[in-house]
Amino acid sequence: MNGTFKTRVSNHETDRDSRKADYRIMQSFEICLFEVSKLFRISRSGFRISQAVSFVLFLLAFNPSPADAHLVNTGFGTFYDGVVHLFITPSDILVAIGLGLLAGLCGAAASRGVIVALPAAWLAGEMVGSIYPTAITLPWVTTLSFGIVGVLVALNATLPRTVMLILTCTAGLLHGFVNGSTMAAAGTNRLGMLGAALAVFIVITLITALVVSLRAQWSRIVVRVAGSWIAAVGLLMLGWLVKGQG
Amino acid sequence: MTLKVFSATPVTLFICILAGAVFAHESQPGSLDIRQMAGSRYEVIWKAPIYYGRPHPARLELPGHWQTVVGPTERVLSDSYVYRRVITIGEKGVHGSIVRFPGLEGTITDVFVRLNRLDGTTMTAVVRPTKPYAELRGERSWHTTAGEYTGLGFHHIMLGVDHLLFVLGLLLIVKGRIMLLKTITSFTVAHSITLAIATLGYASAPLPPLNAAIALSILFLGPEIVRSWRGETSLTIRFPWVVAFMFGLLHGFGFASGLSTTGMPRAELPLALLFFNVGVELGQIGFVAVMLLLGRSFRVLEMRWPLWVERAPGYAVGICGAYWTIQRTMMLIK
Repeated sequence: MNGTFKTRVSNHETDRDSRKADYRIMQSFEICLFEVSKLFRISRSGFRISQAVSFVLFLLAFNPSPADAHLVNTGFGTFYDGVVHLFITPSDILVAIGLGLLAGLCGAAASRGVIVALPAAWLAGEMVGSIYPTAITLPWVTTLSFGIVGVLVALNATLPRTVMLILTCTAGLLHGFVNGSTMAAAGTNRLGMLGAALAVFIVITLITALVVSLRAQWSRIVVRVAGSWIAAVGLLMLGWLVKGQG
Repeated sequence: MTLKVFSATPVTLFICILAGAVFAHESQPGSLDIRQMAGSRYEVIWKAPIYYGRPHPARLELPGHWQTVVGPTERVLSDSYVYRRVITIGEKGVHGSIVRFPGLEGTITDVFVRLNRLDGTTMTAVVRPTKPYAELRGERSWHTTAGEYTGLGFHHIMLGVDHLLFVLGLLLIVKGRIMLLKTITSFTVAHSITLAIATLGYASAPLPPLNAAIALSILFLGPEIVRSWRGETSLTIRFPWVVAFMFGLLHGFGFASGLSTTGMPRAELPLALLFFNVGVELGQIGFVAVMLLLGRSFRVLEMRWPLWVERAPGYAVGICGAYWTIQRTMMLIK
């Protein structure tokens, strides 16, 4: 009897602790969302942008961990290996989808620049990355980049075209650089990198056009929900990275 | 849906096609024929295709209990190296043996493996670069074979940049959805006819002149695309499905070169042919779908490309067609 009571108390305490932990996670997620939204709401001042850029540069310099140099072998040659590489790299495909959703929400005018800028920046980043074939992955930064994009989509952030382009180019250069470095370390030539950039172009063009063509109000909510999932995946992956370091 | 569908196809596509052109038609399959001569004695013929002008990087690695008694002898053909040897297989037998192709994983080559026994039983398999070995087993389910041949057909069309470029050329000329459907269908019907004829052995076309003729078919579309830009008309612009059918017959013989059926059991032929063609169609439909979706996306986003970017795909068709025609004709003359 006594034992049963102790077990019940213990279960109750565990539940309470678990609820507290859940609440803390929710609270920090809300604070994070609020801070990001605040940052971009006053982004026109320029001061916040420079802060954000400094933050990204700091992260870029932070902990460039080596990766297992690998590239999918499709048996279809280097070009298609590069195409498939995008789809099997979660951070790459999620940032491309996220930027597509965000650009679509910002309208056709903003999207036109984005569908050209992202693959171009990606390819440029790959070329630079291929100079350093040491398989630099920068997991924190790449995860954070698509997480931020996901949050912006979830917030339905209407960014000015210039900010949208800066964000796109930064993400493209960053992910392209990581791609190029990893691919070069795996012995992939420029054709594979071209394949990856082309896949990015196709993905972002199709997604952006799809979102721009949506007219119903509820469909924009669906897009924002998709953005929140991307943000959630980012948060989850950041959690894994923290756990992995601890 | 008019020419506008593709008038805005971007420079990226142009670069992709040119890049892809580098490896057009370099994916001839290899083959390994294992034929039982008597008891535990087998003849092994490994045909390694020439790979980008050099001997193929893949080599044949036989199981440890297979002892070579004669050979290997080497014969150099115009398109391949043929290695022949006679082996004896120990008590373990051939069943369950694994034949490996180290070096195949870094290539785009498929290898047909065939085992013919004296009792008339056969076994076939397709080895892909992603899984560069074959396990010799007697019975295989039909869907395993179907999957292999579907993959082979898909592989062939995705690497056959010349076939895709021809389809792109047709898409640039075609006006209207119904006409697009008619054109793609007639191309499909035509190449299916010649693929079947060639695979079943009723007719064949030597590869070098065939490749030159396929290149000519692409070159033929170049001026037609320019005519359609200028608003002029021609038989091809009015009836693109007729041209698609006529040249589709040629392309079918080209597809057949990717399906080596020599030594294949008669009963397996229809299945191989059907699913190889299914693979080719899947690749073709996928390509057309991506192109149409891109065209639609550009319209939705109201993209305004510079004129030279708009026309790049058309010029890519003409330039690549001309380049391949000259290159392949020169190879014929040599």
